[in-house]
Amino acid sequence: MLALVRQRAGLATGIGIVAALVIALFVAGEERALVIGVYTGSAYGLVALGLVLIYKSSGVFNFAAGEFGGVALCTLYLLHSEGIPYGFAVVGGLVAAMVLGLLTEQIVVRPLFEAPRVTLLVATAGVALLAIAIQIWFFDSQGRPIAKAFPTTDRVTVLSVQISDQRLWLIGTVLVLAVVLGLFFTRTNLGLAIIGASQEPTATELVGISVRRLSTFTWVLAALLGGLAAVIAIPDGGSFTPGVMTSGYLIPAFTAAVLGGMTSLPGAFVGGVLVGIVQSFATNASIFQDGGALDIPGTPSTLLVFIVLLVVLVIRPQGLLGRSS
Amino acid sequence: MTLRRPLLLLVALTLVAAACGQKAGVAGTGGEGGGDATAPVVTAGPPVTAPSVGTTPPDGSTPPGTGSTAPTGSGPASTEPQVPATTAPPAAVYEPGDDDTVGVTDDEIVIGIHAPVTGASPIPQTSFDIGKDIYWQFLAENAPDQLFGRAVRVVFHDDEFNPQRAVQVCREMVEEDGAFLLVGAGGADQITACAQYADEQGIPYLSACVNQEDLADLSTYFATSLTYAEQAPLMLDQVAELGVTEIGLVVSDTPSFNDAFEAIRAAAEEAGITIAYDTRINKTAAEAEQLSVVQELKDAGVEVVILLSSPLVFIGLANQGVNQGFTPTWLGPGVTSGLNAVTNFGCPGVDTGLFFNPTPQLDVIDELDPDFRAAYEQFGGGDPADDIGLGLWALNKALGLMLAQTGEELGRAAFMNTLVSTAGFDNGIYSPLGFTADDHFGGTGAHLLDANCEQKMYTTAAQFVEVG
Repeated sequence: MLALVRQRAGLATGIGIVAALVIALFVAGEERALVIGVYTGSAYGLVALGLVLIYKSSGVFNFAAGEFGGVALCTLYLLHSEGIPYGFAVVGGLVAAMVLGLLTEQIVVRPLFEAPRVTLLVATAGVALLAIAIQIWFFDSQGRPIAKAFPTTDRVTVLSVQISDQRLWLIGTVLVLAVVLGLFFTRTNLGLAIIGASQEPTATELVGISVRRLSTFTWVLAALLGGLAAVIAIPDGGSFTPGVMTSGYLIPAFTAAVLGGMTSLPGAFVGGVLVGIVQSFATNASIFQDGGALDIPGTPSTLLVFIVLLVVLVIRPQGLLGRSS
Repeated sequence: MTLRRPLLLLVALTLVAAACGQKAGVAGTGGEGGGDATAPVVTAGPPVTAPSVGTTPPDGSTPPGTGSTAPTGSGPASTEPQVPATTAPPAAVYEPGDDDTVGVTDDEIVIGIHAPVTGASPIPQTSFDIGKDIYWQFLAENAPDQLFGRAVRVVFHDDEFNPQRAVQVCREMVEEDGAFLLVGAGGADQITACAQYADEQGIPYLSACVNQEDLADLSTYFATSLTYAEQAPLMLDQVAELGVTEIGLVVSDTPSFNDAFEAIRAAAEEAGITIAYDTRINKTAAEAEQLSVVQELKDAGVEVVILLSSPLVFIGLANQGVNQGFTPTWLGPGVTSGLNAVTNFGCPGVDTGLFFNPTPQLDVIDELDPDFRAAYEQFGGGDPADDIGLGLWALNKALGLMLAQTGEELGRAAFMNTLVSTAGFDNGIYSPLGFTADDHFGGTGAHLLDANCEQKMYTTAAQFVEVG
């Protein structure tokens, strides 16, 4: 009972921090940062979902998460430019991401199954670098234009921020996935088996569950999430360059995952939105501008994101929605 | 002879002063360049023009905009070095050091070039690989004696849009490849870092337009086009031409752009144009930052935004603008934002882009230098001529003039003495370049490029736009 109260108190602390941030933004007249935070942070949140999934199931920080999306994006581009209808090209991109996830698990993760987690971390970084190199091989490091699935750019306008159909698709997808995956890991046998395999692999094998098959399933699912993030979020910007998912999204997604709690799927979404809000606030708040009280040269948004991360981890080491082990 | 020489000197100094020393709206130009405040007065020779080594323009006309010093491109290949006979001996501003002739042999000169092929600019590596040598191959074929029997070998490295990496590759090019001089093809921070390294080593370093603040004190640095700050009056003139009185100003938050940021603000004030919103944007701005800036610009209601950033940030801002129903004219200086590669994947957002560039675009190059496409056909291996190749061609052509003017006894000190003692170098593509011992920022004008998303390329909106 005491543990439950403690757990709820922790959750309340996390929610309190988010609420305080929202109030502070309204007081500072920067409420539009909330909209921009949701708008841009949903993409970080979707990549973060894949990171959390792998971490929950195997305790690995997956540095290849971004490039699962990168491969999906390149495949979408190649198929669509060959005249394949957009919907089929999207499916093709997602299949390519899942194949990369499968190959990563079979060729890289499985042989290192018993190795220290840090070895796997480095191995996934190697997968990311290889995937980027292959993209540059195909695209000569040049950017490419990429079409949107939905051309309407002003479906909804909130605080003068126009939200496109493509972005609504992204926000809807990440919200649904966060809830569905949350339920999957707490309400289904397969989800519970994955959690069990990550915590007690030997015991899981003893009750007749193949830990290796679960690992394959998890990596393919994580690759699908990375692929979804890329094929939905990137076309909204109209173009992409090789490695964009790693250079532009991986670090914010890691930050989002840690902010939300590395084991919380809804937390990944909340963390993503928080990163987006902080980046937006730091860009436009007058105190960070030329002559402001906190006129930080260089990159105030990056600095502020990491200050927020530090504060959250000091107050609540398990993240906003994570559970202490 | 006694009267002729001082007269020549007077004319040459007047030309240099007109070209370099009186650039309106430029803070801090001159005075500290050259590295040696007590440098002796230098004797300036006449301007050096591009020698005619190849084909004739289709109509035999004189290329526009280049005045009397433009190449005429007539006649067969020249076999004689095109060094003016009346050139005065360069004064000894620079003294030869121990490594003065590194990278120079009887039959070869090694030049090192670095550029951000990856990281911030959508620059195709293959364009660099092909384009870096075309001019030198063309010269070796058509005027083998212009560089006194020496061929030029170019080594190229990607600096990855990272100043530390830039210094590393510059060091490699000097120590391992034996580069005689170094060239920065783009990226202010990388150019600044590498130029500082080159200055420490006494190596000549040339680059296209960047910042002045950190480069003015470097004795071995030479700018081959207008700096960003020097282009401020050009941009404000363009704003006035567009009939706009309120603008936005977005500049990447790097110390290298501090002087340009202030110069643009000063030029706007002088021109009576209000800056309704200005900001320093993260050098690698994320989507949230880009969207936030676009929202502020939209709120300010500006129709023109002066932008100084990497092409990727430009494309991000422009496409965020389209998503938000905000399509201002994006006006700026810059080498890389005016590349066709930007329109290839930045359209439709970048359709309203206008950029000042040291070189014009491909649509007018046949008028200015018909040798360019001919050389690509001859040495390009079947690849079509592109604007990256044009940039490299123009740069190498200017370098060719400088090397030829230095003479057969080529060394780093002699080369730099030649730069500061020659009235000007006109390759017919750049606005004429002119350096003095006190002013190493040699650019005098630029070309204005206009993005065209229908053709997915930039076109030349104005040629040889001069400062002042």
